[in-house]
Amino acid sequence: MTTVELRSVRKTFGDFVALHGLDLNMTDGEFVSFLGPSGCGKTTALRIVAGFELPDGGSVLLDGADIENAPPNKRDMGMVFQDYSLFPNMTAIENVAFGLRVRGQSASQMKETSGKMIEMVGLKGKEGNYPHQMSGGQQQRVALARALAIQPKVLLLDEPLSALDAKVRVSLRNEIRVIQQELAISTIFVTHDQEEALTISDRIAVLSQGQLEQFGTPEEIYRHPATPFVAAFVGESNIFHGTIAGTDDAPSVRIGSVEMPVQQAAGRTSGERVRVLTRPESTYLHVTSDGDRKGIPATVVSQQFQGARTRILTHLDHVEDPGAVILTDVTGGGHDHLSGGVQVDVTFDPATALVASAEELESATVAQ
Amino acid sequence: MRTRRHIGLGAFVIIVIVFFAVPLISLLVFSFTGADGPTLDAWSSIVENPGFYSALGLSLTLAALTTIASLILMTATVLWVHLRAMHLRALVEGITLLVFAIPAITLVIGATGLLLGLAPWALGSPLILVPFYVVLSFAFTYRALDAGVRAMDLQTLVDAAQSLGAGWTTILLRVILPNLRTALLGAAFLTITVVLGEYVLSSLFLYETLPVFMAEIGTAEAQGAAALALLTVLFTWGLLVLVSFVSRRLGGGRPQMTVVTT
Amino acid sequence: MTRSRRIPAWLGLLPFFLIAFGFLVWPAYSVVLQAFVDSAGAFTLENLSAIFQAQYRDAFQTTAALAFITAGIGAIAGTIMTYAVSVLQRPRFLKSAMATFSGVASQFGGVPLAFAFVATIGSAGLITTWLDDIGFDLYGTGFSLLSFWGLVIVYLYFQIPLMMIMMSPAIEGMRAAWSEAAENLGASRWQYWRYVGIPLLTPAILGAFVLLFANAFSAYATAEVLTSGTVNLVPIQIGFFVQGNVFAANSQIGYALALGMIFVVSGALALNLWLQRRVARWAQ
Repeated sequence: MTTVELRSVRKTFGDFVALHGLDLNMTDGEFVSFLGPSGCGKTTALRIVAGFELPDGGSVLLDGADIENAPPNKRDMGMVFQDYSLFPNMTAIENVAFGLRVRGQSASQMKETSGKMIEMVGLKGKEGNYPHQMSGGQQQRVALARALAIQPKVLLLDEPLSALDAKVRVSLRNEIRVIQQELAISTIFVTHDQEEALTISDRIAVLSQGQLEQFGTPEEIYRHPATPFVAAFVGESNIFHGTIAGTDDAPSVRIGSVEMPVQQAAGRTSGERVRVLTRPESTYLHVTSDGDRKGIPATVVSQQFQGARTRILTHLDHVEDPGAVILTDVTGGGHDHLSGGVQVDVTFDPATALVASAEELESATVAQ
Repeated sequence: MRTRRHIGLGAFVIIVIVFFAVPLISLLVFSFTGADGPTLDAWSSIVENPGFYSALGLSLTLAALTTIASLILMTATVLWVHLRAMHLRALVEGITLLVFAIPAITLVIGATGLLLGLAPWALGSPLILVPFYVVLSFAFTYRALDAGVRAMDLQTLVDAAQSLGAGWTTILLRVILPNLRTALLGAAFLTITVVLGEYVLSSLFLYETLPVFMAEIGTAEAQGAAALALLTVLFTWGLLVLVSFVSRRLGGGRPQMTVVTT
Repeated sequence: MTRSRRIPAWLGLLPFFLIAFGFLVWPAYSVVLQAFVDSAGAFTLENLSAIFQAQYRDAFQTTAALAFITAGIGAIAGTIMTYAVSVLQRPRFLKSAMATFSGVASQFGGVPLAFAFVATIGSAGLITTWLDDIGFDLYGTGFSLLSFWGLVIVYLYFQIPLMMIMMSPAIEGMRAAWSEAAENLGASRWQYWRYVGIPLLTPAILGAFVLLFANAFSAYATAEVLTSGTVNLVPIQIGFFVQGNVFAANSQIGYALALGMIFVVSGALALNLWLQRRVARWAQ
């Protein structure tokens, strides 16, 4: 039973504020990803949990107890580093056994535990290989086995997949998740890859410029981004330019000459210039029939076949941002009627559309 | 929390720096020290000694001749290796490193025997030192130039120039050498340092270069030798600063100016 | 390219090969040859057996001891120094200043170095005088700059910087992630050095050590100028046999000594090459 809690953790390096007071609660056995662009503070947060950095303020609690005074080598946290951090003078099995050796375990105990770990990460037969004799993926497996061998209370993964090629990255991340669930070990996973975070995590903490933007399940993060930053950083978004219209009870945004209903416009004044962000799969196309305007007029540009879905690219006709391409995802085939040049109306799901001011969106995209 | 560990290291660094600095400071102070306190005697006796000027002249002449000969020979060699004889690269590098396996003093005894037997007249001119100095600086010039050539992707440059219609003279003068400027500077600096400091061959061949002159007057007036030693050090540092400055102006980065073995 | 292609590859290297042969390989070959013949040119092993005479055996032992001690102290001090420079953040100029200094100081050998130490701890040197003023008679302890231990101190002045030049790639190559991984797995600082740091650096240190050994073994100028032969060293013994156009009597023994010296120094260099290959195995 291990929980990790960060309480208003602050950290600055010189003039650079890496963390502005981070609050976070992890439950036992949970897999939490810290997601954000480089410089957002995610690695700093992880290194503070590991004890490699001391916070300037706030505290880190492990099972409810402050661990500020515990040095990194007393924290019992297994860490996998971004670059291959295997000791180059030791074989795979010696690397895995290292944590046990410094704990003074007997040779037979060491051999048994590290052998099991090597097997668990699928490297049976490679025990005697030196790091330079193994591929990047194999090295990171050894690093994972090495971190798990000490039976850590928390597993810390610092962008462990970023140096690997795409195929290995996907298969290894699946394995990491399987092993983590088998061992039910609380895990923090740092990544800048939103797809990685979405597929692997129980919950995701999205960070930007040292601030926590949103902390929630992958689905919450994707379907209901709490801030423009999250909407822009996680997944793909269409951006519509418009102004606030309608009433507080029935808010809407005027895009071109069309008023589109939205749900999250509370507190905005009528006439305010805003951006509406929608996901491609929550954006819809309707073939225009005369006199029956359903949405924002647009023209189909092209189709992209992507296997299980088809992506349709359209240009909005009469809006202030005419260059913008709107993406719409439709499932299956049979969309030949939506070929280039066809006039369509664009609509979106008001429940998932995010309304942001132009400035908010701009600062969010700059942060990336 | 990391800094506490480093107090011991810091103390060690300071001790070593003191060890490095004290002899240099001593040179300075010592060269101004006389029997009855501070004096310029050591410096004026050197300035008034005609032997100083002839030794300086000889050393500078040898340095100039060696540098020119060495740069021409080694530039041609390194370029040829890279363009036409990559398979001989290991052999050439091996030969340049051979210098370290054959200490200068053993070179002297072997060469003296040969020259006395074959061409005793050659020992009559200090110019006989030049080819030996070229050999002694092999490793330095080779490494500096080799690093320079590797940094500039020679084959691509040559191919590009040829496809644009340039002939070999143009390629050499307008493409290769300008790109090799900082490496040539570094190589020249190393060669000059080797020649100005060389003592074994010149003293045993009985030519009064600057170091030989220094050693000679040192037996009688240590202060004068200290003044000369200080001059040598300052000259080397000055040259180093100049070379770094010029190569930074040329935008080629710092040339390789240290070589692993002496 | 078509024109030059007719020239064989080796022909362009002919000037280099000729110079290398004439002024390096041939003299060295001549040393080997002459070591095995008497002055009349007949084959003999007497020159070689002569180097086992007390005087020359002692020279080899003293030179080896001098080279071993200065290489040992130089290797340890140079390694710690390089490590210190790499981890100390402040002062900021320390790293580049030490890199530049070690480049110059490693070449600051020979005559100027000898006089720098005469000015420091010679019998009238600055430190000697200063110690005398505060009531400590340095030369009263039996110390002399012109002795074996005097030479040890002087040689360290170029051995330590040379070590720093050679070790800095290895120490810069030590990744922060290794020490952090070790710490994270529960290792103390000492355990990190014991199991990871020192084993990783050992081949590089040994390789550099044998180069320092070869370097001190071959050094002539500093010892010659300082001691004029009061310390019995091989290079100085060889120097006695050749002074310009005059060859001393029994000069064939000089060749044998030179051969012995080439043997020791090339052996050290070969050992270094072998050790460097071991370093390369990890450094990927």
